Amino acid sequence: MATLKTILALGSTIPNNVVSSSLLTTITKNNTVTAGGVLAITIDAITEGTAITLLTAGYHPLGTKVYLRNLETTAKTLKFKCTGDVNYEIILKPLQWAFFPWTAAEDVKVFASAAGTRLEYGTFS
Amino acid sequence: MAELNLNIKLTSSDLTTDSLSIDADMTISSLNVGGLAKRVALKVTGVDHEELVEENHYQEGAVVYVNNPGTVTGAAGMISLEVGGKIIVSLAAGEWALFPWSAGQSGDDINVSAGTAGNLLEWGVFGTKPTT
Repeated sequence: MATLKTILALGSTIPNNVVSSSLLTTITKNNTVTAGGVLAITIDAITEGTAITLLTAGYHPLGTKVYLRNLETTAKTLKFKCTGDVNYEIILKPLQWAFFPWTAAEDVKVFASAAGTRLEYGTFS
Repeated sequence: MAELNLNIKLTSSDLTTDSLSIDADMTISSLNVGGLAKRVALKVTGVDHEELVEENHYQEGAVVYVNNPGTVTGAAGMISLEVGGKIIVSLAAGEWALFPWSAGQSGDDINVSAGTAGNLLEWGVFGTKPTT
């Protein structure tokens, strides 16, 4: 067994506040994991029809933590389809990231706005 | 215009032979709608759901944050997000999710349900109102 520590800090503070008071929240959690790690790859697929399978559902258990980050600094966007035909996408602009417990019911597919877009991703279960 | 500043840290000293240390910032700018709130989920997963985020209220790229602050373990303590009748994220007690979302471009709301009616969730969405 190993421990993955996750810390999320979320803030929107004066003078650039979204509501009239400052928001500042931090969540720390120690997760027990046995498998996982972080990899970097390059995405060349640029249409939904040619999207590549990033994560295969059958290889991961329910509740696998997924981390995704667009490593590009300008212009290139990544889109992730996590639910087959359902109209739902995670969209990562340059240097944006996402983190979520994945249901692992369907594969996660990815395509980019331009070939050669660099993606960092990780799974932990 | 408002900003949302986010940071994630992922660390582990014993998962792989080399320590893992990810530290990533993300700033979402030009926000004009959003905030944080806590609410109950009244519908039970697999039976029904209720709307959490209306997709037509945000432009593509809105950031969705959901946290399950509960302490009940197992299925009874879960909070689930659903789109188009499919569960996209299931949060056990103490778990959270954060992702930039396709919102109005995609065509489906994000709905919520719970392992037990009355489970609490903290949630937030930060984005830009669509132009009319």
